[in-house]
Amino acid sequence: MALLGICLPAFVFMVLAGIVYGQHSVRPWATAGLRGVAAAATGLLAATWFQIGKKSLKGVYDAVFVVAAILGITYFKVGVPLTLLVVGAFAIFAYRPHVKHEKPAEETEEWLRSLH
Amino acid sequence: MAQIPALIRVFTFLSFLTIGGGMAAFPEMKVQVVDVHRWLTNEQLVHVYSTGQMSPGPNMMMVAEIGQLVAGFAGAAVCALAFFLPTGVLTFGVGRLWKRLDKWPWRSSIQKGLGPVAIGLAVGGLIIFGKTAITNWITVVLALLTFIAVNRTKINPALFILAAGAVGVVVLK
Repeated sequence: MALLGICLPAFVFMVLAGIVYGQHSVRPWATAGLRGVAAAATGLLAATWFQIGKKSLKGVYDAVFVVAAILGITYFKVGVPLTLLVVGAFAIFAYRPHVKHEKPAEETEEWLRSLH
Repeated sequence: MAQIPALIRVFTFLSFLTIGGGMAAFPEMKVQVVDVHRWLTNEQLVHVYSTGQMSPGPNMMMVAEIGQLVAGFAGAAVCALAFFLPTGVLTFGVGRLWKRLDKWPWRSSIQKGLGPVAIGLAVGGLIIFGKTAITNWITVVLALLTFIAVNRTKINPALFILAAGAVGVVVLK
């Protein structure tokens, strides 16, 4: 019910927006207004991701993986699934658990014990 | 109505790409909606996505507007369900599993690794979005003003978008 309460107003709003857009999108004033809306949405999205990045990115590795994902999408144009798969795999490997050679499976054993 | 199966297929697929947020799926959404199925033009997709930023609730409910434009109310309903249901179920399942994996060493690796990748995907999507949305110096100014205002004030961002729309009606004709 809570999910429905969150999603239903947005759904109704977007359906109505679709009806209005379908009827008026060819009018010059509507297109002009939507160009303004799109420009502001770019600024809003940039601000959102700037704030998220500022809080969560730390160190050179993070910067490298951000740039690699951006290049995968915009420069190499390999698509989201492949970029996610390749850059994601490298990123997870780069942050792999520290392997202790004297006690190789200590962390894994501890985790396995916690399951019982 | 003939487009309904394709809408379900495309938006179910897209839902699994929203790693870290809807913007991460935007490049693939553009490929599917504009290039492959030609449901909308590039500019129309940017307009619909922008309208979604003003919606009360999840911004990615903009998929319902795409469905509405392609196949009417049935299209809107199937797009919303196809987009939100799989990830909703997945999030619920993974959330429970994630708690059980509390002490699994790779859990932290996955979190640390996928964080920057999700940000990179979203910024990549934003660049593609911006290439269509930013077309002249007026749009540059509107984007910059919104960027500064959102970072420096606590005012509801939807108001900035509405104001930019009004400015657009007057100066972008």
